[in-house]
Amino acid sequence: MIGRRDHKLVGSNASCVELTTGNGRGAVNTVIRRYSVTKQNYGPAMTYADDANSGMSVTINISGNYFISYTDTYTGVVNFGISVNSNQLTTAFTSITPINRIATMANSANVFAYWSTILKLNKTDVVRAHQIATGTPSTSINVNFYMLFISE
Amino acid sequence: MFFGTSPRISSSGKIWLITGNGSGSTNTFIRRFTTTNENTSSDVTYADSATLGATFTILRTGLYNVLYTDYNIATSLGFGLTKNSTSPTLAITNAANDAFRIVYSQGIANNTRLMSFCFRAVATDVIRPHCDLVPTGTAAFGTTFIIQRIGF
Repeated sequence: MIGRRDHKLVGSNASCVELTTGNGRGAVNTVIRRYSVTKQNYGPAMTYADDANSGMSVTINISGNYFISYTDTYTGVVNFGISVNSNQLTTAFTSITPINRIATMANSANVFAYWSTILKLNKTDVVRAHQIATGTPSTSINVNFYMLFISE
Repeated sequence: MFFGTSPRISSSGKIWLITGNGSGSTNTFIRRFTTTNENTSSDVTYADSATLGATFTILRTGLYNVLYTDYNIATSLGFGLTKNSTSPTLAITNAANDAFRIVYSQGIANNTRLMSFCFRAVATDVIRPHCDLVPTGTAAFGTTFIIQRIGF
């Protein structure tokens, strides 16, 4: 028997967003990553959006637990990570309001860094790959953003 | 209390390997491990071959998590997971593996890097720990691979 605090698995709400191949950052939201390739985008739990001005975003449609990973690199050492509901979209990730900043990571120069976690998110939350405004972001196919809906 | 038709989360053991052991002699980018700490999974079959490297064949469709740590002694190491790669003799970063690469990370020389990744897999899928060169790290504490099914 499953207890009250067990999670409801996603069943027909199975959802995934996977983006690859870095494509710069937003023209207005200058610290928000963009991607060229949508490798996976299915299910009702998330809505992925991308435009040249705003950069990428994933809006949560179903509250629950999500697995998130983010892989990126720079020619220099850069701090980057995942923001949730940030309105500081021209501010470097390390300087935004802490409550909007999920953990930071830094790459070694020209080396990919990988970041992952499982995070409880609520309906209408907006998740973004968030970095800095300086330097030329990598266009490698190994640049990757991935979200998987795990349980309600 | 059940949540409607919520299925029970599977818990049927895991495969847990440590101690890097180079790679396959034919599949030179597919990692091998010396020590099996645990092999209790009824959801995944682990095989190790001197020529082909390590393979993990999915027996039951569902949600899986892999924890993989690795490093290289002299140079940086790119490593990750591929699913059903038809090019296991080529580096994970080779374009031939773009469609099969499910996660990628990279560490500088003599620095262990960790990835933990959740993904959906179906029965008969073959998961491989896949590198961008012949890996040389052998420390038990720095080379770990755990795969387990965590849900539907």
